[in-house]
Amino acid sequence: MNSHVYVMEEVRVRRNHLAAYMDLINSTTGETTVGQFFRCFGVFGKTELTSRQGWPGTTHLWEFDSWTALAKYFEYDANKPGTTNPDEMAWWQATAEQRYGGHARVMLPATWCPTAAQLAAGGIKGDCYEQEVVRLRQGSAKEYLARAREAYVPVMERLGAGLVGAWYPVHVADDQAVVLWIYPSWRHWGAAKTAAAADPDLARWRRESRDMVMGYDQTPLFRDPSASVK
Amino acid sequence: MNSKVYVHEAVEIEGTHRAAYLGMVANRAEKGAGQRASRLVGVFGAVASTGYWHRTFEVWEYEGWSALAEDIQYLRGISRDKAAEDSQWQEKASSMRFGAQSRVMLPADWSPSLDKIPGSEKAECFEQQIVNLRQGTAADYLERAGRRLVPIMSRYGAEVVGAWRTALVDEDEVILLWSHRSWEAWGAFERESKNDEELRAWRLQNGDCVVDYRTTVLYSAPGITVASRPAA
Repeated sequence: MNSHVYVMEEVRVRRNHLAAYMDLINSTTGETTVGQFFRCFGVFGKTELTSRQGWPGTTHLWEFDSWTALAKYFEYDANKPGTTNPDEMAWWQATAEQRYGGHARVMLPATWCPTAAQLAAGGIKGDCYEQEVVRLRQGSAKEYLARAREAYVPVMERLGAGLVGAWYPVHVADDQAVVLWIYPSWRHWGAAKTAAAADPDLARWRRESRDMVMGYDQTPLFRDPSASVK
Repeated sequence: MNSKVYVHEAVEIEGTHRAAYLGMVANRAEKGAGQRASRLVGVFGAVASTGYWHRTFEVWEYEGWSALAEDIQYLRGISRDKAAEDSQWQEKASSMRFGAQSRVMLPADWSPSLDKIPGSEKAECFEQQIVNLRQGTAADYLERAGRRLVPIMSRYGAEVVGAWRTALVDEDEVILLWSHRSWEAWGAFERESKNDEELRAWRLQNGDCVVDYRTTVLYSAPGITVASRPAA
């Protein structure tokens, strides 16, 4: 069972800074001051042809060991203006110059959601990801994730997608879920979308889950193809 | 039946760059047709009085999902090296815009493909409706629009440029794009349609699925026509 706590950030990046910003965030390792609080689960860019929520932008996922670890990071974040570490100051200054805002969700994993370590051990790699943010009726997030595991994940896997993670945001009324998929390549993604349009099992899932689902947004994402989920 | 896939982009333009940006997109579509897997259906400026500004809209046509996937790979330099002129173009375009919002769109059966858009090459004025719907009703709404709305709009001389439902969401959004031959014709449509009982009935009948809609008046880039692009 996965008992970690996650933060998903969606960041608006200044024009022409997308690649540099992704490199900067990817450099957040356990040896850096910031990186000691959490693990970088993944840093993803939004493709300009498909991002309904706007581009240029990135999505980051951070994994914390527990609420206590998250609280320690929040304490650090609140006090960081007083830092005297020049490397750390330079890192924060660089991020501030390359982005102009964003929003974040604190999330808890579905009981069956793999941890970053489990994904890394499985060697999951790929260039093409898709983030699915699902809007739900109040109080139905856990039920949605349980039913998705039984009826949705197998269909998506048959269509060529792999599950990276499934979470529900806290600090809201149990009315959202986030699922992250991976495809071996953009070619596989295109083929899956073509097949999905006529897939009866997927249509059945969409139909039967409407007692909970009020809408969803799928956002294709990319990352360095050589980078595994950390 | 139209089996293509479309990308609709709403671009936020910085300062006074709108005219230059419109020209750049159109020019790129004509010169770069062989590099990209897409063809430009149209590039439009939003009339500032009718919506957010400064904003432009582009609609691109792909043969299918695989062609879109190929274009994503091309832009990322995965499938083949990006042409130097495309990199230069993107750098220049980035200096003129803040960012954008893109939608992948699937056409209604009756929505014309690029080669079959009627009359739009002569149009001066365009009208875009983004319709928010109850989830799951987009295909049904488009089917109804094809039967009921298109004949009504035709009475005013408006032609369909495209009718699409947004993909990657829960069948809850549609975009309709109409052309009017002239600004005068558009004005006459707006004036006379307000008392059109058939149009009023159409809107009332869709109260079961339409949540709301927003209409934005658009113009095509100066000297640029819609549906006259060279084939990729």
